[in-house]
Amino acid sequence: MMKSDEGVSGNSNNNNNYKFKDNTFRKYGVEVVAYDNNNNNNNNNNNNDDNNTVTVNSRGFHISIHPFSFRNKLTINQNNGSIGGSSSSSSTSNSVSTPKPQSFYVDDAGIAKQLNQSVFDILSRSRYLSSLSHENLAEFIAAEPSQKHHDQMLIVSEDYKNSLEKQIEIQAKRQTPIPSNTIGRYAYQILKALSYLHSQDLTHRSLSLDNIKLDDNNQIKLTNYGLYYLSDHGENVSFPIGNLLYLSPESILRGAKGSSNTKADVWALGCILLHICLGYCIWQDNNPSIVTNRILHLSGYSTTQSFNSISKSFEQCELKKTIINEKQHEEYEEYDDDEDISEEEKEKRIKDIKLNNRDNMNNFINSLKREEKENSDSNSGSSNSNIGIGLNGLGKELIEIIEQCLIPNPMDRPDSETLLDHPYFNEYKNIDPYQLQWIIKPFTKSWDLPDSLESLTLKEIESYGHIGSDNNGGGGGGGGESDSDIYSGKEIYYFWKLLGGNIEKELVNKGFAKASPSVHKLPLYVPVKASLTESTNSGLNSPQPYQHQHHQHQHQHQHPNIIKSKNSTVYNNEFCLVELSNVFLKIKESFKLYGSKVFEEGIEQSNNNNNNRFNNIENNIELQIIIIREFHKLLYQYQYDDPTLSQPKIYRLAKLFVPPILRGDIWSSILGVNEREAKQLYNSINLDVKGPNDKQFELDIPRCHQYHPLLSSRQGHVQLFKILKAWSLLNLEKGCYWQGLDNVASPFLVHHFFNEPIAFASLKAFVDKYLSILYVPNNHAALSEIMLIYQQLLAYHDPELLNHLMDIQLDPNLYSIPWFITVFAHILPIDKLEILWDSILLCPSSLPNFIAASMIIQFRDSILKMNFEDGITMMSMIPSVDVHKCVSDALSMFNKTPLSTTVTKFVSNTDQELWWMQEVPFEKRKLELFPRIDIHDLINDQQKVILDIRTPLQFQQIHYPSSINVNPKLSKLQQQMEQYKGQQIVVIAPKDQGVDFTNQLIQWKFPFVSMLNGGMDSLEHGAHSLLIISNKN
Amino acid sequence: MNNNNKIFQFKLVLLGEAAVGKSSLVLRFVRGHFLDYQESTIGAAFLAQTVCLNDTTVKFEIWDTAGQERYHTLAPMYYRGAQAAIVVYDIRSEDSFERAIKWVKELQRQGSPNIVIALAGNKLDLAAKRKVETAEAQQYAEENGLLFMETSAKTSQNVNELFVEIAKKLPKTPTTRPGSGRVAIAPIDNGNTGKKNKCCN
Ligand SMILES: Nc1nc2c(ncn2[C@@H]2O[C@H](COP(=O)(O)OP(=O)(O)O)[C@@H](O)[C@H]2O)c(=O)[nH]1
Ligand SMILES: [Mg+2]
Repeated sequence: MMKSDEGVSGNSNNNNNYKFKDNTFRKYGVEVVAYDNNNNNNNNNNNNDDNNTVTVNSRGFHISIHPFSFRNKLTINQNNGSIGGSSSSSSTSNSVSTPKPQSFYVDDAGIAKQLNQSVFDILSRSRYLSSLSHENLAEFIAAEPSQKHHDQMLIVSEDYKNSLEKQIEIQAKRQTPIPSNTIGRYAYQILKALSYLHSQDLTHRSLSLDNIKLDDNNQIKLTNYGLYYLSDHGENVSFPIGNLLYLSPESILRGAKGSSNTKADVWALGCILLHICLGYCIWQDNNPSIVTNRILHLSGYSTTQSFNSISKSFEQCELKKTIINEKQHEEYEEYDDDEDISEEEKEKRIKDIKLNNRDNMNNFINSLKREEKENSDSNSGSSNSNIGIGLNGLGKELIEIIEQCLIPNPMDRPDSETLLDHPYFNEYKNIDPYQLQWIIKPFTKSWDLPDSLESLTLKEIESYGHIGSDNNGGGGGGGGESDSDIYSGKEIYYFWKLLGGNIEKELVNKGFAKASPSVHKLPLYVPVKASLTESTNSGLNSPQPYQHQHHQHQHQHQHPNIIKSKNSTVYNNEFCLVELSNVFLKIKESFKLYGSKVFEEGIEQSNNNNNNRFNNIENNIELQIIIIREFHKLLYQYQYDDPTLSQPKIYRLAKLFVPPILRGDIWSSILGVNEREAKQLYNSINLDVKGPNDKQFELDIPRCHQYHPLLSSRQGHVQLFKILKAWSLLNLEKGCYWQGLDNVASPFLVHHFFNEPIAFASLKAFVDKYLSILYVPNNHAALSEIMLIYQQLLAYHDPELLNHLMDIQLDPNLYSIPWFITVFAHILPIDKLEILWDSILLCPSSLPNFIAASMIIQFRDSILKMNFEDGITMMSMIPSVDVHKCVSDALSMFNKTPLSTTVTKFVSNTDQELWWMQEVPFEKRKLELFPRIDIHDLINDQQKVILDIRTPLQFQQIHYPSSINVNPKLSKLQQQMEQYKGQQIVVIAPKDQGVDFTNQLIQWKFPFVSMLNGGMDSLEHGAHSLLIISNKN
Repeated sequence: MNNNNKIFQFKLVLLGEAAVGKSSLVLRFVRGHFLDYQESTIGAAFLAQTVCLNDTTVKFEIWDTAGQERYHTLAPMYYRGAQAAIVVYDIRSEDSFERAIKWVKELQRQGSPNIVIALAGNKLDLAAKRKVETAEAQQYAEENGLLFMETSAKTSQNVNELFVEIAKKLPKTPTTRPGSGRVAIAPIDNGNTGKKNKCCN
C-alpha cells in the first residue's frame, strides 16, 4: 500500500539549511521565519526589494473561546485535613451535591471555605491541561472565570476552522470520499493524541467529528478534550458531556456523569472512523433515546430497538415495551449511588449487565459490508460510495481496528496504546517526524533527552527539524541564514491581549453574550445534547442522501430522553473563533523592526547608558515579541545546550524585561535549575515516609496565600505539601522548616504548577541563596545581624527616619522579621512579590536589605508624624507599597552605597595585631547606627569626604590623601560639619573610638555616613602606598 | 464622668500552639471580624484596642505571637514586660492544651511578676469535636490562679468577655500611666549568639 499522504513528511531537501537548534524548541503553535538578507548574499531566490523577509506560517492557527457554565459543588472534606495522604481527585469521592445555596461551608478543620472553591479547583485543573503538549492536540491555553457571569468559565484554546466534520461535507460535495490512507492517517494521529491524553490520566469523553480539527497542513488537532477533566468528570457542570452518537455503551449505562474511563474514547474513535468511511453515522436519529437504544442493542444489551441484518435497518422490537430497560437501568443506578465500590467493581457489574455479547455488533458490521457489495454490484447510481469510501474500501486491517474499537465490553476493548501498536500503523510511524520526540518537545516541558544523541546524524536531525511547512509553499524554500521562531498558543494569546484583545468583549461582539445564559433550566429531563444532535445534523442544510435512504420511514419523536438529571442545563457547544491577523501582522512588523542584530545592539546600548531606547517595554508589543523570541533561544540553550553560555545572557535580557509569561522559566534558569537534575533529585526523595513537619505543614498550607486561586485549590494544597515536605526531608540535618517557607515556596508553585520537581528545585536554589542562614535551628544571630544591617542602611540613607524610629522605640524586631525570613513573601501578595523578586534574583543577594529600607522610606512622611502605636500599626499597611517605585529606589540606593556595608563577612582572625580584621562583636555593632565599610570602598570611590578624628599629631604623621582632620570634641562641631551634609562621609577613627562621633552625625540627620572598619591601621596594612606620610622623623 | 475616666494602658501577649486561633481572637476583638484563612503569624503582630469598664478605660497593646515552636526563642522578646497574657489552646486538640500548660509555666517563671494570665479554650463552635474537657481545663486554671474561658473567634462567643475579665483583674495602680506599659524591646540573647556571629553574605 502506498502512503503518499499529504502534509506529513518534512521534505528534507528543502530544509537542509535550517539550523536545527533555533527552530526546535517550540514546535507547536505559530511558526515565524525571518530571513536576514543582509547576512547572506550567496544564495537566494527571492532576493527582492525587501531587506528582510518575514513569513508567518500560522497553519490556520486560531484561538477559540468556549464559554461554559459550571455549578458550585458542596464538598464535605472528610479527610481530617491530611493533605499529603490523599491524592486530590480521588478524595473527592465524598462529594455531595446539594442544590441549597450557601455562602460557605465548614470543613473538618474548622475552616470555612467559600463556594468559589469550584472555580479555584477548575482553575487549578486548567493548569494541568495547559501543561500538556502534543502535536495532535490543540493547545489548551487557559481557563478564565467570566467577569460577567459568576457561574461561567471561559476556555481559551488553540483552534482551527477546518474539522473532520467539515472535511466530510466538503468531500461529499466534491463527490470524492476521503481516501483510505488518509483515514488511516487520521486514525493514527487521533490515536496518538488519545494515547497521550490517556497516558496523562485524561479522558476526552466528547470526541466527535466537530472537535477533531484539521490545520492547514491537514494534520489532526483534537480540541475540547479538557472539559471532562476540568469539570471533575462532569461533576461541576450540569450538562452531560459527550456526543450522544459516539457515547460508549458503558457511559450510557452510567448516566450523565459518572466516570467514563479512557476506553470510552476508544469506542468513540471506532464510531468516528466508521462514520468517516461510511459518510454518516448509521445509528443516528433525531430522537436521542432511539440512538442510545441502538447503541445498546449493538452492544448486546436487550432494548426496544434492534438491528435487522436482512433489511439492514433498525427496527422497533416488540419484545419489550419500555423505552429502555428501566429495571436494568435503575439497577445500575443503585450501584452508582453506592460510593464504596471501586472502579473495577463497577466495571464488573456492567459486565454482569450483559455487555458481553459481541454478536450484534459483528452481524451489524458484516451486514454493512454485504450491503455495500450488493450496492456496488447492482451499481445503482445513488450508492453511498460518493459520501464515504465504504467499509470495503478500507482494507482489512483498518476494519479490524474499527471492530476492536467497537467491542462492547470496556474490559475487552483494547486501550489506545495497544491499538497504536497495531502493525497497520507502522507505515505511518516510519514517516512520522514526531516519533523523535526529544527533538520537538518544547523546552518548558520536561523530557529527557535520549542518551544516544550522537546516534542520529545531523542530516536526520535537520530533516526532522522543520515540519510540514513545505506543504504551504510559502514557508519552505528558504535559504541561507534563516531565523525562525515558534510562538506557543499561550504566547499568541498573550500578544493578542496586549493588543487590546478581551475575550469577554469578543464574545459580545460575536453575539455570544446574548446566548451566554446558554443554559436553559430544564426540569427533570434533558434532551441529551439537543444542540449536539443538531450539530451533528448540521448537514441539514446540505442535503444528505442517507437521511432519505435510511431514516425516511422513521418518525421524528420529540421525546425527552433517558438521561435523567435534575436542574440540568443544555450545554451550548458553541465556540467563538478569534481573528488573529493583527497578532500575526505585529509579529511580522516586529521581526522587520528588530532584526536580531539591531536588537543586540539595542541591548548593548541600553546596558551601557541609561538613556536606553528600550524604555516602556510593557507597552511596546513589538519589543516584547522580540524579547520573548530571544528568551526562547536562550532558555532552550540553557536547558539543552550550554547553560554557562546562556545564563549570563538570560541575566542581561531579564534585566531589561521579564515577560510575565516566561517568568517561571527565567527565574529557574537564573537560579541555576536544570530540569533533568531537578527531576532526579525530586524523585529520589521518598515522600511516603513521615516527615518531621507534616503536621505543621497541614496547619500552615491552608492559610498560605489563600486569596490565590491556585494556592487555595485542593491541587495547590497537595502540591505545596509535597514540595515543602521534600524540602524538609532533604534538609533534615542542616536546615529546618520555619513558618514562612510555605510563603516562599508559593510563587514557584504558581509558576510551575503540576511541575513539582522544578518548583521544588527553584525553591531549594532560592533558599540556598537567600535564606540558608535563616532556616537553621537557631537563626537568632543571623536574623539580628540582618536587621542591624537594614537599620544601618536606613541610617545611611534616611537618618531622620531612623532617628524617629529610635525615638518612638520602633525596633526592627517588632516588624521586620517576616520581611527577611520570607524575603517579603509573607507580607506581599504574589503579583507584587513577583516584581520584587524579579530584581532580587537579578541583583546581589544584599538587595533585600535595600528593598526593606526603600519600602519603609516610602511611608516615611506618615511615620515621621506617628507615635509607636500608630507606627507599628502602619506596618500592616506595607502590602500597599508601590513595588515598582520600591525597586527603583532600592536600586538607586544600592548604587549609592559602598558594597562593604552589607557584606558582613569579616575574616575571622585571631591575630591581635590585625584587630581590624576581626569580627566586631555583635554587642558592639548593635550600638552603631552607621554601617562600616572596608578600605576597598574607600579607595574605589574618590567622591567621599573623609573625616579623620585622630589627634592632629597622628594625622600629621600619616593620613589618607585629602582627608580632613577633625576634632570630635570641638564645641561648634555641628556648624562646622554642616558643610559636608549630603555628601558621603567616611570616618577614620582610632581603635574603639569614634562611635559616639559618628552616631552623632546621624542624629544630626547626616545621610551617607559610614566608618572605615579598622581605621588607619587597616589602611596602613592594606593600602600603604596611597598614604601621605610625614618625613619628619 | 469624664473627670473620673482614667486611661490605663497594658501590654498583653498571646501565646499558644500554631493555628489554635490566637490571631483570630485578636482580630475578632480588635476589628470585629473573622477571616476564613487567617495568614499564619511570623514573628509577631501588634494591635491595640481599648475596653471600657465602669469608670476607667483600659487600653490593650496586644502582641500576637507566632505559634510554631521554632519561633519560641523570639517569644520572651514579646512577653517581657507584659502585664497580661492569654494562653490559647484548641479544644479539639490535647496537644495544644499540653503546650498551653507549658506556656503558663514559662510565664510564671520568666514573665513579669504580677502578670495576669488567662487560659482560653478556643474554637468552641466546634465543640462537637471536643477533646479537652471543660472541667479539666477549669480545674487546672483554678489551681494556678488563671482566668479561664472557652471562646470562639468565629462566632465571637466570649471573646470580648475574655478581654473584659482581664481588664478587670489588672491592677489599676497610679503607676500604670499611659505609655508605661511598653517596655523597650530589644533582641534577647539566648546564649548561642556568643561567638558565632557568622553572618549573611
Ligand atoms: N471554627 C473556628 N475556626 C477558628 C477559630 N479561631 C480560628 N479559627 C481558624 O483556625 C485557623 C488558625 O487560626 P489563626 O488565628 O491563624 O491561629 P494562630 O496560628 O493561633 O494565630 C484559621 O483558619 C482560623 O480561621 C474559631 O473560633 N472557630
Ligand atoms: Mg497567628
